Amino acid sequence: MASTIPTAPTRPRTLVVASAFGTGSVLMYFGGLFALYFSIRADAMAWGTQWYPEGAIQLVPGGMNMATLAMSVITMCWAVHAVLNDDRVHAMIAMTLTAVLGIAMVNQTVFYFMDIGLPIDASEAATLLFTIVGSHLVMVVVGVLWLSMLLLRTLGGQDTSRDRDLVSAAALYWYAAVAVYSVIWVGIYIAK
Amino acid sequence: MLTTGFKLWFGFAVAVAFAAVFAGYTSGATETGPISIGWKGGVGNHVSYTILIFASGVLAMFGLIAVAFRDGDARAQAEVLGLDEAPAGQSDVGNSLWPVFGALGIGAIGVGLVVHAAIFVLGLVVVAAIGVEWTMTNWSEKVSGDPAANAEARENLMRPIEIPILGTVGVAVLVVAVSRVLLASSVNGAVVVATLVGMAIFGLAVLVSQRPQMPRNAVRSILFVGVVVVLAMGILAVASGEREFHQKGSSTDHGGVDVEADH
Repeated sequence: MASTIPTAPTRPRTLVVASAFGTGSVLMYFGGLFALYFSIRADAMAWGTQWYPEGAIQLVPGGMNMATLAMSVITMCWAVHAVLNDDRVHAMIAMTLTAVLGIAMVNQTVFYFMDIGLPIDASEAATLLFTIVGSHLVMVVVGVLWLSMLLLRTLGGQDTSRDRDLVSAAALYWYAAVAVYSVIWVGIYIAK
Repeated sequence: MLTTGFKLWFGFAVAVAFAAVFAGYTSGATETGPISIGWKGGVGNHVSYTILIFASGVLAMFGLIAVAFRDGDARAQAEVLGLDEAPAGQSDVGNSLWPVFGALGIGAIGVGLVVHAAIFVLGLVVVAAIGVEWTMTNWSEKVSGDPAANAEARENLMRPIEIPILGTVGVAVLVVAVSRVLLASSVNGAVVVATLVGMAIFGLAVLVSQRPQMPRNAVRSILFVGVVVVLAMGILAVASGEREFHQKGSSTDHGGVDVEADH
């Protein structure tokens, strides 16, 4: 099938590969944090000391956040699929929904942490909890900003099937953010 | 088919996963803990096990990216796009200083968080400005296949915005830095400094205007050296502090005026 060669050439896939390495470094940062968290928690449990105060960590907020982010994975897939098919309207709807779900997750987490009234310096557990969850909030906020930029590009007709690397890269980053939250959900909210 | 990149990264991932299991069982793991990621039994040393498991997952992700994007192969992309030939790669755009300035802005944000709010705000402003500049440079590099036309497109769009802003910032820096020098100098010294700085600026301006054939790089170099000298003098003056100001008349005389004294 003959087609015209694009006049404004793009570099094939280098953006996605570079984003994969960047996302990998972010994941390893969280790997280090989780390693510290689980190690100190295991020591505390072995000595029989209390890790979190009774009732401080509740399952419902963590579960709601996990469900919110799980839905955002679907909307992100929708966005990638829409861009691949040059469906600008659906791409914009999907990106907006994904960003809104990310903002909802940030809102829920901030409300929860204001509500539990656990000072950041109350214990090692509290410090690590705020560090890990705070770092993840930053990750999600960066993802939302990235999606906002993509939305502007889509509005201007720049995210197309021929120039979709930025969308693929953002999707990869977003999936990584959700994967990190799944570890937070299991390791902190469920295991406590 | 499985690509070379996939085989490399996935091989690393499997090796690191085995290393995690090995590290677990040799550091006190129980039952099937290291195999089931702690589901049944302990995993041994949590630090080494968690880091190795995360590393294995990240390496596996690299492998999946490699196979999904066919190791970044342009021909595979052409196939997906339905083209006979692979799209040409972007032309060489040379080096860019925006990452360096962006890093300076981020560094200023970090330092400002610890030292002073003004430095933090300055860092935010620098990062925002670099973000705009970098975005526009990136846009201009894709306007066409001709680097000269791309640079012209960027200049046409950005120069009317950059020149007034940079001019305003330059005047502000000049005023603040020179005023610090005048405040740090003695009464007579301030007069001498003001005269010399004024004459130097006027002399250089006359020199440049008399030589219209002077290369642009030479004019830029003169301006750059001038800015560095003024900034350095201002910083040194701030470090040495202002001269003493004495109130004229007695200490109870509220109607007195400030006068400068040599010291």
